[in-house]
Amino acid sequence: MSKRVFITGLGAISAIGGDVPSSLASLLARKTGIGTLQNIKTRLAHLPVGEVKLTTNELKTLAGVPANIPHSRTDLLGIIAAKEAVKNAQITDISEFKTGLISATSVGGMSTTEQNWTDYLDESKSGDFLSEIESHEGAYSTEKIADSLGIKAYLNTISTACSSSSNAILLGARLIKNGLLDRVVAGGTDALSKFTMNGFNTLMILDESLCKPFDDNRKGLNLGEGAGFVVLESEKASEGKERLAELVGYANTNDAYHQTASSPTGEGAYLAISETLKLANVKPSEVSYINAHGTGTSVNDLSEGTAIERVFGSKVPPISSTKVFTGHTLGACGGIEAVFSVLAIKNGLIFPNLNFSTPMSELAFKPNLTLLKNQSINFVLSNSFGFGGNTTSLLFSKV
Amino acid sequence: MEAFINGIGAISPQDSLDGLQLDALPVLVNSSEVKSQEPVYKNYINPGKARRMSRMVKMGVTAALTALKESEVEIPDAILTGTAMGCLEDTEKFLNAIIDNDEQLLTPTAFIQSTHNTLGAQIALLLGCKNYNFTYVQRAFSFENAVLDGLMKLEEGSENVLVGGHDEITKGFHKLYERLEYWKKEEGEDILQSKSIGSYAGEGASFFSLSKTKEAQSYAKIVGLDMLYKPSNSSEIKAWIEAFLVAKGIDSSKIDLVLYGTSGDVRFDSVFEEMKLEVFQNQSSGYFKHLSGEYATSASFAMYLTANIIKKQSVPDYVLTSEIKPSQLNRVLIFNGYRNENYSLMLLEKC
Repeated sequence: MSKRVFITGLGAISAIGGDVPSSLASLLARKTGIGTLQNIKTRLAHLPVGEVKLTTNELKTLAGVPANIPHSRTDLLGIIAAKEAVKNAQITDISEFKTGLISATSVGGMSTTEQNWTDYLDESKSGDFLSEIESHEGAYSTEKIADSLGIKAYLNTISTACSSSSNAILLGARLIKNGLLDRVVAGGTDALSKFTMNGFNTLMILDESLCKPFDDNRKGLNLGEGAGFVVLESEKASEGKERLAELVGYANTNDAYHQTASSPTGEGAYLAISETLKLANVKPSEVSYINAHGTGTSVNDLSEGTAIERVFGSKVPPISSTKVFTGHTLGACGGIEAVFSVLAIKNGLIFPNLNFSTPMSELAFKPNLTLLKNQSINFVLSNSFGFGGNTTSLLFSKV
Repeated sequence: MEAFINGIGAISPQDSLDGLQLDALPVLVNSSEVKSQEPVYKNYINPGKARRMSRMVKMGVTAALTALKESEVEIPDAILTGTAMGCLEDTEKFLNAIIDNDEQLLTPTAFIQSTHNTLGAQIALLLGCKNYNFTYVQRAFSFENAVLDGLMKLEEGSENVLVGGHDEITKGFHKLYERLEYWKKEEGEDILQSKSIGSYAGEGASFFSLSKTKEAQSYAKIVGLDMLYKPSNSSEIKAWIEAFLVAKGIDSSKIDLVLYGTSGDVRFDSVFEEMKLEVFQNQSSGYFKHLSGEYATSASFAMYLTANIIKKQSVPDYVLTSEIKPSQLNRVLIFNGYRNENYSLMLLEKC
């Protein structure tokens, strides 16, 4: 059994870049990826989104998948990011250690299902497109990622809405600590779909301009798409190789307040952050940077901000939401933001919370607005909260 | 890692919510139209709250509350749900609304309730449970992953955890999978004898209150669980089962009954017959998918059945497929398989 769990590889694809180096370049250039929708035909095309600017066919080529097997956009984004993470961890023989894959997704292959739904149900139509039905299931994307990496020992998919991929990382760490696996590729993937765009639109929490996390005049979130994966390794498996960071704390709790809305007291978030710090035995004052969930909705930012003040008091560390760059990538956001958290540690960076102008009346702190370089980053807290009251925090440490 | 099953709530095509009725005749799932027997929900859930819940959520919440009540656990340390397809009724409803209304005049309710973790969240809301809450959606590993996490949580110090598996049949998705030849065309076939492709669709919700502590009402003890993804041939399956037994330190002769995941689909069932001959030739055998139907989390029904068999120390004839009847019921192995992609083993012991 391994007492410690290290991160040895990173992979990400989102609106700000097709891989980790290009994502970092966009973060350093303060360049958001949120813009005009191109790949989906919808009445909601006026809403800004963090879209990966490649067509599904272009993603297929990039992912290097066989043409005869159906792949939804979610599968392809996941394959691209997970492959990058494994390569980054310098893994050449995936079976050298007992390796699992834990992926996360909120709607799986919905972007394909919604295009074909009418034809699927129309018995007069048949053909190869019918085989795409199976790509609807969330598990399908995980199987496709596992197959492309040659992972067989353990597969799991987590679907707890917007906290899904943070939970994938949390579970991966526990499986390693319990001695069930030596290595886990963990993260999540989600593609934009009409289903989620319309869903969030009916909840009236989509901003028609760029999202403004922690701003008093925030109007809602911008949806995004992408995938983010990390490679988690035990002490044994990571021996002799570069350890990018250590996952020292994690907790999942539940707000138990409302199916979609977070509590104004931030109870679930407060518990998640507190338990994470407790597990890591780290004092609030030791946290160098908080990568917030920070969606830009009225309810999330109040709930999360309140929880943060409950834990950190008047000494809130620098905090920002990188969703201003990527949009809210739902089941993928915890994975992508875990990658950004490790980048912050490795490169001594604190990312800026763009689009901010007015502090929230309910909170004493305001987010970090400029790109801070050459910082000494020892601990980064990453929050991810989702529908169903699901609240998760992860704490990454410098090695 | 081990756990005692201290409470069960199961909703299935059988009259299962009050436990296994050994003398009652079962409902045979021999068409894909057989649905779960649903209770009068107002006896279990506040009607005001139930009114807003989908059928799947009502089934799951009822099963979960029943399991907790029996084990006298008010707030579990973890709520772990496994579901391959999630809340399909609301997914389908919102999808149809988008298409039929051309993305206009939509309301959020179906969207809100379409997420896979809706049931886990509703259980937490009803209980006011702020603890660990996960939803696994790994096809026919979904329930198994929930149980595995439950075992880990107990190992890490939790006292009680709630685990469950649930999936539902809805009109649209049933049709989609019919087009992929998941279901049998002919009704009324005996799934043990069938030579045709497809199985009969099933559904249900089975929840278990697991604990580190044995209680007077404990059903059985879960002592082992393993999963195998996409084996390349049957010798890989055989080696995997043998390795599982070795790891548990149990000779196959110590297993009194093996419940196989035979689904009646000629494409996938031969492996069960092979393992019967090659690993478990002297063991009693049984099956369960004629009672649950085929769905990716049907292993949760198998666990309900097995736990009851062990507690009652009696196995109904309609479960047995072998001439050999078990002389004792100390250990029962559930060997499930789903479309030759997912195989799982769950070993339960008398406690």
